[in-house]
Amino acid sequence: MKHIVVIGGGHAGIEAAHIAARMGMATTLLTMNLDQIGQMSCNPSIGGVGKGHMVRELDALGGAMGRLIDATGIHFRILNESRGVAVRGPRAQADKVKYRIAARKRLEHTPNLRLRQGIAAAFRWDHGTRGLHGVELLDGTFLSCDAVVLTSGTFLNGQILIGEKRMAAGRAGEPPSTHLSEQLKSLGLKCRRLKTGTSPRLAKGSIDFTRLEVQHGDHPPRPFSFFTDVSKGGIPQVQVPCHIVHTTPETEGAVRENLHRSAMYGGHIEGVGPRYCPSIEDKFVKFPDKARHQIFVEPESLETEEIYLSGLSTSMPPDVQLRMVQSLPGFEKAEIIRPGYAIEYDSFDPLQLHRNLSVEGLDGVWFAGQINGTTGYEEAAGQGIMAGINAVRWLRDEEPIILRRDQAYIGVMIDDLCTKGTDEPYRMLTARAEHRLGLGCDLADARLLEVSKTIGALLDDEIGVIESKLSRRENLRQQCEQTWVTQTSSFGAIAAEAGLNLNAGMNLRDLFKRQNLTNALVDEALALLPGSSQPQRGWDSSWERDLLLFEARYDGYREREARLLHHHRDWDSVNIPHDFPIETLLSFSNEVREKFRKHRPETLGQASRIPGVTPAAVTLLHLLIEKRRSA
Amino acid sequence: MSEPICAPATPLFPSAVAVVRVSGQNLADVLAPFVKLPRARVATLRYLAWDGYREQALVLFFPAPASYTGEDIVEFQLHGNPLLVRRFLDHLGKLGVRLAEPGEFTRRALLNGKQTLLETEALRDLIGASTDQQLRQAQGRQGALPAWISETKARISPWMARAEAAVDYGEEEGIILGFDDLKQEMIRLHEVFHVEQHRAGAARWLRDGIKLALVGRPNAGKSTLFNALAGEDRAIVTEIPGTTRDVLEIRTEWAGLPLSLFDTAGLRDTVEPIERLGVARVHAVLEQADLILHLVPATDREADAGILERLAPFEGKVLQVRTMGDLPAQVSEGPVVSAIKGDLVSLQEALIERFLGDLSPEACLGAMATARQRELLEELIAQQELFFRLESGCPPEVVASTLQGMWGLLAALTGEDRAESALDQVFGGFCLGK
Repeated sequence: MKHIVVIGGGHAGIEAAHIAARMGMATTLLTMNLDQIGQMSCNPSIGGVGKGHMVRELDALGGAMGRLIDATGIHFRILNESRGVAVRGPRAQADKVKYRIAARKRLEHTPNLRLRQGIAAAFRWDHGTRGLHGVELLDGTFLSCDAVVLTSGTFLNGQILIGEKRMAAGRAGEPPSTHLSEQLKSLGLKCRRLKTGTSPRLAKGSIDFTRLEVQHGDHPPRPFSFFTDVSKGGIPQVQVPCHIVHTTPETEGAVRENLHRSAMYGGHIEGVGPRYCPSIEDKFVKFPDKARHQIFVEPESLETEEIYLSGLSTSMPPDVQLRMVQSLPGFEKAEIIRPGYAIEYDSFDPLQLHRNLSVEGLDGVWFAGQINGTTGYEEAAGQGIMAGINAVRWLRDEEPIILRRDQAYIGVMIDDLCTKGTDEPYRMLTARAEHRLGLGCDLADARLLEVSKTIGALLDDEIGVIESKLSRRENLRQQCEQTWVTQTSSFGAIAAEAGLNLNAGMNLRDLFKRQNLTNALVDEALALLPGSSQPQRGWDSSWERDLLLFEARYDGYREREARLLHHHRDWDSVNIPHDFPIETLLSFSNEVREKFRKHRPETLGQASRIPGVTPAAVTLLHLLIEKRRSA
Repeated sequence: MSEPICAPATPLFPSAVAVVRVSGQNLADVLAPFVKLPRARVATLRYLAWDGYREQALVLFFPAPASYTGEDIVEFQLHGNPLLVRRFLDHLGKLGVRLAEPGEFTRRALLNGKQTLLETEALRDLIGASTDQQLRQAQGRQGALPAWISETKARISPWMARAEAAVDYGEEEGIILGFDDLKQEMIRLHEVFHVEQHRAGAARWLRDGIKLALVGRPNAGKSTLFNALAGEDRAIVTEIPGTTRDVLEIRTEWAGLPLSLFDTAGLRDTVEPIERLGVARVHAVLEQADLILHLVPATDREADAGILERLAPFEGKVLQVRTMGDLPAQVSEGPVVSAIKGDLVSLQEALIERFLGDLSPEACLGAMATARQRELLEELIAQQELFFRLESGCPPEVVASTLQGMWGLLAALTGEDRAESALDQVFGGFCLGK
């Protein structure tokens, strides 16, 4: 029987192992420490704009993250609530302790999945790197397997830096992994050092919360997962507020006076850090005009008295960290219980990956998460699930599942990584998606329904939840189109209340196009439609109303966006045959051929997205492929 | 390795000098058995010998990437004997340098990013220009990006950055789009686009030429006017599709306007040219004309009814011109000309107004003149229209989408397509938190 080993118990590893097992494949999750499965090494939160979208997407594919955060979240908030539905993103504070327990419990109760503590030392193939045989552990055990998903996070040759001090570690208090990385490098894989950082953690009792700005979560909280039933206690944890504080001139002084002592600015780090997730040193240096920076004060868990300072990631020595923290109003007596630190680790150039996330030239090996140059739990999870899915499909001789750029943020991310590569830790932003207006997070289930069915990891009952929601949504659309708004109808009265003039032959959808119709009045109008108030699992009426309004008002913009980009999609559907001699084609310049060699595009669309490849070169490539096909 | 190619850059006629160009990778190696390449960009005399031929040539070497094609280029200036050039090309062939296909040098330049699509189009027009005006117009579109494109990009890119930041970080960092200021910027750009569209509409005629058909009753003065318009500069003569060889197109430049005159050749001076040609053929001529000049002698009280009836389907592109203006006029409507006296001022004004509007040919220099460019310009204006339909307080991602669309269209115009450089500029000026 075929067998998959997933190395790593972080967010990528969890998803890879979970989905592979749910797809019916015998799976082993190998981790250095079973107690650390699902550990959140950095901020105690999941989601956000772009990131929350990916959580919804992997949930729709049968992933674990959405369900885990719903079960353990203690503060839920929809970000960008003031923006349109396409860019709203769910975010939640997790109870880190409970999240870990829930993650492990979920894996332990997933059929076909077993856990194993141990450190991977080497991969073994039958011939060279052909025919994967298995994974050798440091303790001498040999785990035979047919595919392996490596999700090493920050552990490969991890080095923690605090001020001038440097120590080998995969995460504070845990040893790094050194053997595997050496083997991979010896096989010719291109490796580079990346860097990320985290914030100091404080003792809750040492902070004067009365002086902080309170930020409450949404009430009622809205779940991440499409399958969480709120009416049946789907969000079980007690909800707590977060707090906000701002840096002061003293904070800036502490940073500026000690820049030379920062691991990052003192020249102690060779790794490249994430631009979109900067350290506090970075913020003061790069944005000198900004007088103060916002810091979020977040609980790590209801089980502990530990507080996380989001936005204060730093690699300063502990004494400077203390000075910085105590310069915040209300933190004069704050005690640091775990200092912040920077961590440097091995990552492999994602240009060496196929779009199914398997590694070029290494039979049966998949990579997912930080090893591919991303940052963030959600980015890791999104790759983990796709690596798991495609490893299983490969073992079953099935076509890989490649999510398109106009289909999912996860598709955008993997295409970006495999096509353009990344020089800094890659973080998802909605700006990376050119088809943004069609990629709303609440539409993830609709967008991915067919793919989900192909994967087969969702239960029939779960597919049913999505399908009945979609048919109700469709039904609502029809009701709006077929309901005429006349002066004498109740709808007319609502229009009059909004001060709107009615046009002849106007339906409800037309009425909704008017900007000055308030949400309350729209709700009033919708309530008049038959069947509208019926509760249904997965049906969030205020979100559905917003979706309806956005469609009525801006669907033309989404269509226009898709039309202007249609040739990209056309190009994406043209595969470059595996044996196409793209690097030896006489018509291309050395530079373009070098790019093709390095980036190895699998489709014409990918070729067109390689920086430095001219559209004319892509057009010529297209011609050559067509010519060969017809020959 | 890119196949080396060669081509004569001058026509194969006996002349003082003939130029042969070679383009390819590592030409120093390719040509090593034949000639040692001189220092880069220094004209150097070299003695060449092959198959018993001997030639003294000036050789120029432009190493990659600073050359026309972006590859190595070697230029040979030979004596201008066509046979010598042929033998020289034969020899290059033996060295593995094949004869280039038409346009292949330019295609390589485009492929290697040495030219924008706009430049390639301008170059094509430059080489194909047959009148002074077309030459000037093509030159006007050469070189750097048109200022309005770079200006538009510079003006919208900070707004794209702002819109993107408002979407991805807006709530946390308190970044708002500033819709009303953006709208002001858009109104200014709208002016720019409007001017460009206006210029493009006129430049189109300067590039493509204006097809004129002359129609009138016998002895209405067609011949005289035709000769006055065609002048001595009459150029390329071609057959018009859909007609017989009897109908020819004569290209000329008159009053700064490139004209294509539909000439009915020998039939022109006969009594009933239109009848002789046959209804179908006349229709084909009139169909293709951009403007039909209906010539009516100033001495006639009114135009010939039969001709009017025949021209009825073309209403809107018929200009009635009173000829023989030197004779006592019956009607003073429309332009009145006297070809005999050389007084064509009113016709000139009418044509310029009709095709160039209030613009002079000089004002059309650098305008978007090809059909592709005009289409994209229209798309750009339509895209901006979508923005104007938005209201303050609309979601920033919709604004961002319209701006991205505009950016994409500008990139399509220059041939860069959707430029990733747009994203690089995004976020630059904002402090972004986690």
